[in-house]
Amino acid sequence: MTGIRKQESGIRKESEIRWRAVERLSRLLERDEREAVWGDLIESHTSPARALREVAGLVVRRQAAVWLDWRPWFALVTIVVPLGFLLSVASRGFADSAASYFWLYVRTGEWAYFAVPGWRRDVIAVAATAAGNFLALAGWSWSTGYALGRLSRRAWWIVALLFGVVVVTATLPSTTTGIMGYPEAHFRPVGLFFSGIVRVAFVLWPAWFGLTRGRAQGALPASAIGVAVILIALTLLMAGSLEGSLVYGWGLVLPQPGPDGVFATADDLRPLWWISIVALWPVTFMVIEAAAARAARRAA
Amino acid sequence: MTLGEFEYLMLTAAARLGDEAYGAAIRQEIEEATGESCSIGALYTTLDRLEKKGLIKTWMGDPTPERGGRPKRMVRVTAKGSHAAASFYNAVMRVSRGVGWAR
Repeated sequence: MTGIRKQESGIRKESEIRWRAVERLSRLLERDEREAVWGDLIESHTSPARALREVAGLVVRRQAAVWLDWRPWFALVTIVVPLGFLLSVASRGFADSAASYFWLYVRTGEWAYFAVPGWRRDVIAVAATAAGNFLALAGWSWSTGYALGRLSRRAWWIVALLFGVVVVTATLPSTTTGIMGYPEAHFRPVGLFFSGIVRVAFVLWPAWFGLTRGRAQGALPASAIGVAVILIALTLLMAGSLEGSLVYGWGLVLPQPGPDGVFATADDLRPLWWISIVALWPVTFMVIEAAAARAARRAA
Repeated sequence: MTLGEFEYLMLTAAARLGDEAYGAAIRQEIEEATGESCSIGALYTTLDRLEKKGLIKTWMGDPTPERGGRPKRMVRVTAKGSHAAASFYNAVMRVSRGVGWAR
């Protein structure tokens, strides 16, 4: 008797798991279709195993149809790969830079030094650069998520997943141990941990919010253009940091001192100046879309 | 308008069901007629295709208790759909004349 009860309970549990899987999977369908399909499954007393097969089959067909459109491919080629890589490298570079400066000041500084104007100015400049970097990073990520949500439509979850994979893995084959203060063995774990936090807080999280907004119906309000202008200005200010984050860790392009022969001065050569344009591509998309919607409203 | 075999089956099932044509009913009708299983994936993607071609019109019906409060996707064959199905049927009848399995 106990054996039969155990068997029944096992079957019930298995059935529950399958129904839950059907429910999760069916979320990938459009709302109306999901409702109609669920109704059909209930009405025809479909078994959970068959329901799972049926819904999976429909989801696969729908997803395949979505990829026949050019937009998800466009999102993949022009946003997921280049922006995913750039944001991954930038987040790691900004995090490492902020962490190593923080370590430097904590290790060598004392509260009394704040009385010295030069020291104070340096600390404020470093803090302002770090804040500007993180703010710009969040802005780029939000606009990237927005453009992804707008372009990928029903393929959003595959596109979002691929974007996440690129952001997390792009920096794996590189290192930033060249940044000053970083080689300290006891500091390295803190630096790595901080880099992960920055990646989640300033890339993945804002990108998710942007994606959610991009998937929502309706164009952005006119204020979006204002936000975009601020982000463009911020990008121009932080362009040096962005280029620097690509230089360090990869060794692809060496920092070039300009005609004065001194590195980190205003005349340094900037072979990666065009990187800012890549970072601003989703913002540009956002502005064009908002402007087009405004023009359409006026025409109507 | 060229029809596929499955599209013809769906149009015919929907026409036979009349006001009672919706996803689950069409599926059951096809399964009974052909003796083969009809997947929900094939059913709903074909419904979309037929609607895009203007051969059917679909809309969401009212929720019913036997469906757990979920609505039906109702289907109606348009005049263009009836014409396409009739053309397909006539072509099959013509091409089948005189062959062993056509009785």
